Amino acid sequence: MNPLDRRQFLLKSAAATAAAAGHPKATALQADGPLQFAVSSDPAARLAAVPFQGPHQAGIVEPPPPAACFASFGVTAENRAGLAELLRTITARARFLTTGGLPVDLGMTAPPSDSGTLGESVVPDGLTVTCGVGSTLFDQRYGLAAQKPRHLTEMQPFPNDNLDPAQTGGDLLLQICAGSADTALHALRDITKHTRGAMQISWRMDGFVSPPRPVGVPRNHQGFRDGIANPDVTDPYVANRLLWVTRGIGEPAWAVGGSYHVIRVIRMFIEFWDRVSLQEQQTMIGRSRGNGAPLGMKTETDIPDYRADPHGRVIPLNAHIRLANPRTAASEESRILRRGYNYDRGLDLAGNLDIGLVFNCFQQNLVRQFIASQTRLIGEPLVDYISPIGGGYFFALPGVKDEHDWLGRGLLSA
Amino acid sequence: MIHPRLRYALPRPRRCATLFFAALALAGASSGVAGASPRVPGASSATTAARVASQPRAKYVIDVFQGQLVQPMLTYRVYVHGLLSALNTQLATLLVAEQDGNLTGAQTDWLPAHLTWLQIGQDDGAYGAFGALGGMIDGLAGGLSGGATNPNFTGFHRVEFDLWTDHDTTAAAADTVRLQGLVSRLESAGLAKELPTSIASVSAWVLRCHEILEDADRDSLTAYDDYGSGTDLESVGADVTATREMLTLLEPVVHPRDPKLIGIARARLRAVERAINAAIGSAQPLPITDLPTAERERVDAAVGSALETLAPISDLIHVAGDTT
Repeated sequence: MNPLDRRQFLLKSAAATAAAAGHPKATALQADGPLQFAVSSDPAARLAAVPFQGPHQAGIVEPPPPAACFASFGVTAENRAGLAELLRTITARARFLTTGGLPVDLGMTAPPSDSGTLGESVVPDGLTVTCGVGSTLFDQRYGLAAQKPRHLTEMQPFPNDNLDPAQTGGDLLLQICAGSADTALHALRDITKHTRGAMQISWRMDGFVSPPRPVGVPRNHQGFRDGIANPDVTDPYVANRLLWVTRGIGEPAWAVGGSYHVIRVIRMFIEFWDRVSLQEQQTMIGRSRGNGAPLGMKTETDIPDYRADPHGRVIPLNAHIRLANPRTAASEESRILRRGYNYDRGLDLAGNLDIGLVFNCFQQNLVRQFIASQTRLIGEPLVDYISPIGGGYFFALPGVKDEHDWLGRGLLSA
Repeated sequence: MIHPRLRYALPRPRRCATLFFAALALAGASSGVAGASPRVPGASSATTAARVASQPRAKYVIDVFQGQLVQPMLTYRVYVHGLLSALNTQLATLLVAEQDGNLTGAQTDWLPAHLTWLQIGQDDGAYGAFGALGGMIDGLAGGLSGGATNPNFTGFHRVEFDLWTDHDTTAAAADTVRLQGLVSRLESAGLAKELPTSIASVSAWVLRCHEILEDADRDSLTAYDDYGSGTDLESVGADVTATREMLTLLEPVVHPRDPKLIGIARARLRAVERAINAAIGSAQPLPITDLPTAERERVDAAVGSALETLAPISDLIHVAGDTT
């Protein structure tokens, strides 16, 4: 169907529907008009601006909006001053993009300053730009070795991983989240345009959060609700124990207010998964696929009592939720703040869908939290159906405190 | 009325042009919301057949008693023993070529040994009955730091890497000796232990009916497990042989529950073989990445169709007393 045919088909369908509904203007719909789309044209339907400044960066505790773009960069700035300039530029662009407003008008003297994909005026649309640094930034290039966060390393493969070096690690990471994919992509274009020469993108992955189906926590591509048991970081006690780097835990002073950021791009072999019985799927996960309740329980928020099920008769000992969060006093300290996104990016060589999860989490201590819980998951039955192929360990910088502050100022002043 | 598929496309549905949503819903229902061209269901006979075979079943599950599967598993053990015996001979031949520094000869000898291993049907899948030992014999380097250069990378693919990437017959010989040791371990202490007949292990073994080809789909058809030999098409052929053996062993318990299923599955496997043979033609070996798109798609399609037919077989065989 060529575009014109398609449009006429739509209009005729609309007219038919209108006529069937006894709409008085049914015939008027047969006139020419713009192609209509099933999205709201109401600007009020866009997400509100998220405050850019604060003790912590935005994009961590906020509920994840529908769209995300994860982009990892190699920093190519020639020296420490160049790195500082890069971080100031990222700060300035993120500040503008998350606040919104009219882009600079360069008149006819230059190409336009903005891509225009968000219209003449940039809308915030819930945009957050969260900047992290990888361990490789702390090599000899910028004299930062002594300032490296204590636990920050390059991500080493776990036994069931298949990490592709081209999609793993990086000096600098931007997690760009927004109300819609075009807003996130607009921000990525803007930031890369303004930072060319100082950093070069090395891998990227877009993600989306599905709407609740029909209620509750959104589902991943395996059909299961993912991210149910997240710590309540709106409670400052919990946040200061599990999420933020605080004073007195052996981290460099500049890092206070930051958080370790783990990204794992996890391919899901969903063709295979879809050929597995529901019962087997559920025992692998430990939850009911229908409503997300732990097996043997009623709702997704029910908390399994593993002490009453010591042999795993209800929830197997190697079920994903049981290994990930055994709910013991010891495992309490290894809880992480998950902020996962589904991804969907084409096909593999055999024509299988390349889709999966951008596992994305923040924590106070990389080793005590993510690495400890991932170590418990080694060899879980689920590993046949998934394959971590990329991502990295980063440290989300502390927040930008005021209009004079910039991302990484503490690090580069230390 | 907004079509259910579209309802969630709206961040916050408000007034808006309901009529146009209705129109788009109609368009979406018939041609895909994203403007994809209409697809005719069952455009090819293979597709239609696969769909029929994978129709949701509203059948009663009849428990299979563990005892009914002990004999098939014992028969399978004999089958495995026979192949391991052949494998020992083939590995000895391979080692001679490597010790002679005969790279071409070693490359030629590696393939039949690997195919014999694959015909056992355990490959390296986590559900493979041979557990960690299976992974050491035919696992990939993905989970190892440094990948294929990691000293803990062992087995067939390590030797493949030595021969085709490093062109190093000395290293290949050392790694082949290591591989022989792993196979011996499997034969002596391992096989009885690794192929027990507990309820859980029988249930897991039954899953191999489709998991052998699932491994092929994931690792071989993507050339993901190709460390240089370019023999993935041959590997898939060996996986078909292993799957066919599973069908033969399980036929007595499957037949009363679904009299046609095994026959359909065998036909699907023959279709995979036809597609592979047509693709390979006279050029052996032919890396899957070098296949013309149309031929690669025929192989992929045949494997996909076979998998959809094979997957329900294990669901029909619920082992009495299995609570997992």
